[in-house]
Amino acid sequence: MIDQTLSKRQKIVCTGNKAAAYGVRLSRPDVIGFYPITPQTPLLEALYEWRSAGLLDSDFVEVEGEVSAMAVVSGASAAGARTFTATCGAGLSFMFDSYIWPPALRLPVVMANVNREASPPVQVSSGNSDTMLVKDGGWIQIHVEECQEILDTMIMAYRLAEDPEILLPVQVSYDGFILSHLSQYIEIPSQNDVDQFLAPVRNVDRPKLDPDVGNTFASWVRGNLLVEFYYKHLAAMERVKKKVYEVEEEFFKIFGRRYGGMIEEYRTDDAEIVLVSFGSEIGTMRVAIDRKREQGMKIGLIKVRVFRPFPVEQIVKALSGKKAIGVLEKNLCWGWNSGHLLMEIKTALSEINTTIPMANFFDGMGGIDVTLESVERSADITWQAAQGKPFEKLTWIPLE
Amino acid sequence: MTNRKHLIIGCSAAGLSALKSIRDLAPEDEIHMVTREATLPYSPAVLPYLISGKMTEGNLWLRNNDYFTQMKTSLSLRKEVARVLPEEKKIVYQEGDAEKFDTLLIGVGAEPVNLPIKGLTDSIMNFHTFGDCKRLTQLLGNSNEKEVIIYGGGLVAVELAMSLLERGNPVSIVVRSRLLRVYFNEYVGDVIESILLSKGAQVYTKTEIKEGKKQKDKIEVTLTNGKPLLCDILVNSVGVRPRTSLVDGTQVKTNVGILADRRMETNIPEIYTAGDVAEAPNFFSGENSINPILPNAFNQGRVAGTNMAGKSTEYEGWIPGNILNLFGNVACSVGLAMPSEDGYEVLEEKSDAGKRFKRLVYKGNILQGAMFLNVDADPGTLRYLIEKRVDIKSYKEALLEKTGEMGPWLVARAEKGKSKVL
Amino acid sequence: MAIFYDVLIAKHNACPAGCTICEETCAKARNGGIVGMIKSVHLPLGGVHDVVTCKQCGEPRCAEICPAGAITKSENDGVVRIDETKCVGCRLCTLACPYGGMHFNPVKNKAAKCDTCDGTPKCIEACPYGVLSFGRSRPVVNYLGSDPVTHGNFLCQGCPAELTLRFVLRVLGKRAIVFTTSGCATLMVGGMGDDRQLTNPASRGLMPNVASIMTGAKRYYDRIGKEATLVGFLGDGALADVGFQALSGAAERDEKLIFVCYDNEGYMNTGIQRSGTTPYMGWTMTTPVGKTGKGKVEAPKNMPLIMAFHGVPYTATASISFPEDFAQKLMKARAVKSGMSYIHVITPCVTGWRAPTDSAIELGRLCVETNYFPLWEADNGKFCLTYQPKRVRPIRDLTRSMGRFSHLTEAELDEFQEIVNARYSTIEYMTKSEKPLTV
Repeated sequence: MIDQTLSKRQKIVCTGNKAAAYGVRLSRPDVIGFYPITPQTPLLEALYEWRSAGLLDSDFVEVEGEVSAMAVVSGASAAGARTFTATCGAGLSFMFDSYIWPPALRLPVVMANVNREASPPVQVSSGNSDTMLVKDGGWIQIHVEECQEILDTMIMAYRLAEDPEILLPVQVSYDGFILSHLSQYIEIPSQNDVDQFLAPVRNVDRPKLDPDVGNTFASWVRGNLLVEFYYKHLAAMERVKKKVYEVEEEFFKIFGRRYGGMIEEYRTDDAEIVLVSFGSEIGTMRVAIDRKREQGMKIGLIKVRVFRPFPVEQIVKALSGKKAIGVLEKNLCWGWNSGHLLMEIKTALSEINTTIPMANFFDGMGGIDVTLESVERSADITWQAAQGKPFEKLTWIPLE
Repeated sequence: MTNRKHLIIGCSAAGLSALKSIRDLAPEDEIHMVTREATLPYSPAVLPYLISGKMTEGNLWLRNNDYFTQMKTSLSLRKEVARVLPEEKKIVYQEGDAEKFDTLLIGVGAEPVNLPIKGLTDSIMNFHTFGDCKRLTQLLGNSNEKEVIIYGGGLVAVELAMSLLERGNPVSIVVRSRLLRVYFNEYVGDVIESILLSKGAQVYTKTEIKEGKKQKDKIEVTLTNGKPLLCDILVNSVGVRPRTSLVDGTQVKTNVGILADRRMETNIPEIYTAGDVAEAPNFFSGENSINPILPNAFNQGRVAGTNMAGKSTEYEGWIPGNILNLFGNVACSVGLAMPSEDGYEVLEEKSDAGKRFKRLVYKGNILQGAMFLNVDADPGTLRYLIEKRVDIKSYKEALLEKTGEMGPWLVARAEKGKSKVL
Repeated sequence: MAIFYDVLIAKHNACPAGCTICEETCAKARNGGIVGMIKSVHLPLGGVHDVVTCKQCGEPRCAEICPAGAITKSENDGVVRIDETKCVGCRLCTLACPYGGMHFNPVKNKAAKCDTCDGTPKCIEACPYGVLSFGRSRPVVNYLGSDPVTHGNFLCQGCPAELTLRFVLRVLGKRAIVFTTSGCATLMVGGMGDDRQLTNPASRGLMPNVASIMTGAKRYYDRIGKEATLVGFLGDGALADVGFQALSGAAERDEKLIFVCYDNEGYMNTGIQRSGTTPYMGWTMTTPVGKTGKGKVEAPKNMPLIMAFHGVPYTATASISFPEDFAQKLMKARAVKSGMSYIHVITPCVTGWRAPTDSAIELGRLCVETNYFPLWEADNGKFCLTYQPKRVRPIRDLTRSMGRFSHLTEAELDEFQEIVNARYSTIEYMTKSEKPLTV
């Protein structure tokens, strides 16, 4: 039986959506605005169940569309609230009009994106086309691998977003269905521990919309002032890179778990080739890496955790000197005949003026399983590239 | 725009008027008002009525604590300022602590003038403050038997005498010249004296107290004309002078009072003065002089406060104005009622039988002053005509004849812009 | 303190020679015949026969000078009164009053002055010559305090939307938080750089979502117990069209918000394009008149009726040309605690409607007086007309006052009149229901 007083840590079996819900509940948001969309709905159901049981006293606003959901939490955050919303897929694209509001106005909203394919033909399946659509909306974006990390990252998201040096909204992305509906045995922290962890950011002094203060929010700005807003926003994004580690360190001290910060490196020290990815497939990829290692391949894995801001320094450090890189992703960058991750890694590596061969692997789109076999196949192709042999720059795994 | 700190010394008419002006114009500035008094603000003008019972202590206070809260002003009682340090923009209190200010208003008022009487150093009491008034009430006790000598013949002296007579106490007034010499002419002064005599008072004019001594419970005094008088209580009311001690010896320029320019500012920038302590420009000549009456304190406080708040304004100059209601007889003088120089046209009307007197003083067509006794006249309208320098033109006699009607009518006409205002 | 109070008014120099009826009446009614507190002034040689009375000054000198604190000006009715228990009879007040309005009761030995007999002056009743009257101040002027909107805003010359915003904020008070979005209002709410345009707190939003931004903020203020009035000042474009979804959702959820729609019947800020409220046959850039067009072909949405049919607690129509009516509706809107208030304000855009720049107020009046835009309210389902023109004017009076209908033929004008009549009947029909309507 789950002790719903959450007075001490406990281990339970629950889905990714529920893990996210626990993370949100423990962070005690003031206002939750949302519109239901599959596969996010069980997250909301969990929150509502707790609300009607008197275990969660946030203010809920079920609006009439996602653009309003983000607007509601923007308005509440502007007034000083801690907020939460969640969506995915077409909901995220509909939300985009309001999505750009919080980062530009430095409102520390936290949202969960339960990654789902966005574009027609209609899909109700896992995919990253939705989150990549908004990658340059100005938010901090973190991609997580499994359910414990979902819960923990939700909590860390509030600590990060509301830090007075940051004050930017955070989007926590986890794959729809694959993680949202996956049951895992995870630890739920105690309420006291989370309160303690978030105490440094309770009531941070930031500009608020206040009936007693005659300020104008989101005013008109002309060129210079807009540029100043951009400059400060970008500077805050840069500070995130250091802050992520500080927050994780604080988290580790209380909860005993950490995730590597901006990226996590797995068996990369002596690796000659490295596979890079993010999201739920990392789990499968770890096993594939181990298998290949048993077969004698010097191969490692990089899990990109924080995608925005992009971990340029960490990627460059981890990948320099490697003989080949294989990038697995379930999204497309329409302008570059590749995925977004490969393109961004390439740009990062241009810092060290290198020509490490890079192979791109499209896998997992439309909810297709990323299998051990397909990862091993990707490893083989990457290995080929490391030998200097000709190789496929882009492999469409599902079409093979 | 940063908020300024205004320090007001004195919480009587001048201080309160300045406070209102500052608060109206600078809603966010800090204001600290300090007074040596131990009570909420009151007007010394009504103290005689406390003696007669027409005024009760409960009704005395002009402002309560809520008012100061509303005005976002901190009021410190029992805080006497020992010294002003102009260069440092600081004041030092009696207890030794100091306080800085951005602007300062010195509205400490006046203190009684004491004529020394040989043989009596501590038996004379003043009648200037609430404390004085309480002491007198105590000494009078419940009966009306105590005999009182009032030394002085100004307005306070006459009003106090009236109050004591209403109470039924035996009263004597000793005055160096004559009653109300500064305000009224001999005719009016004589009428006033006769009214007091008819109510049972003794009035000794053109004499002073030479010496005195205590005789058990009583006080015995000898006048300069040799006459001996006996009383239980001797009240000093010979006059007041500006209380300038807190700036004496500093850079703040004084003469009789603290000198003020047209902005009610002293020679030190940001240090202002108003009320009985101030020596401000006179309306008629522009020269500085003291004129410690209630309306002046009020107007000067308003000018000072306005300038302290950063909005520039000028003082038109003080105009004398005094009114006395003596057992239903009304005597009033406004402006230059008794000019000493030539060049004035004086129109008068009087009736001995009716104890009535009317005087208007003109320079050209402009009213300069007025004096009345027991006639139908609105003194406020005449003060307006003086202040606004209204051209009376062909109505000079009519104004004398039917003052009660002409006065308001001329004001209404002036307000409509039909008269030339110089 | 209110600025305008009811006041005793005397006609200048209109009294018959020697008449003292007012003075005697006052003396008899108030002072046992001893002294009147209104004075007749007769100066036959000057031909002057006048009456003088206290002016109940805004900053009464008598009250300032009274050393007994006996004179005060009432915040309620503005009357300056003497507290006889405090008056000591020193007569300093007669020295202070420049108008001759202060009198004295020699029997009581206390000052006496006009107190308007607490609102029913006896002198007025007694004067047979109509010299005296009691001027009643109109409640709306109580709101004409300091201007919450700066000057120098870059709106069209004669813009009534600007007047409407100034009025709305004056009535709702300086703590009301104003929300708006792209459209004409953005030019007077959005500020510029680091300069505000309002003394009220404000925020812009995006067109589709202002109602939701307001929702979030209001939910949080209610949660923390902070009293806050949120008013969305938005055009027909933002509320009837692109932002309708959010408005409708907020209405259904009973969000405690006020919406004031300044309906200029078009997307005016972007250059006069048609909107959902542009009238049938009205010209706009996108419903042009020429070889292939005769203005808008479709009928407009009836936004206030739509909002009333959401079942919100309070809906109303208003016009800045009828400020008392508007002020009352704003106060009703502010008092609603159970859900949304929606006020739809006809806003004659002189630029877009092609009318003279000084005609906006007159146009507003014409819109109402022709029944083109009737003034009504639905208070918890109870519909009523808050103003009915004494004489309904023909629609041609409105159409001829502006250019956007100048292409209409006589037959079309007749058709227009029928449409106006029919739409008015619908509103009238709603008002005739005996019970409040539940939707």
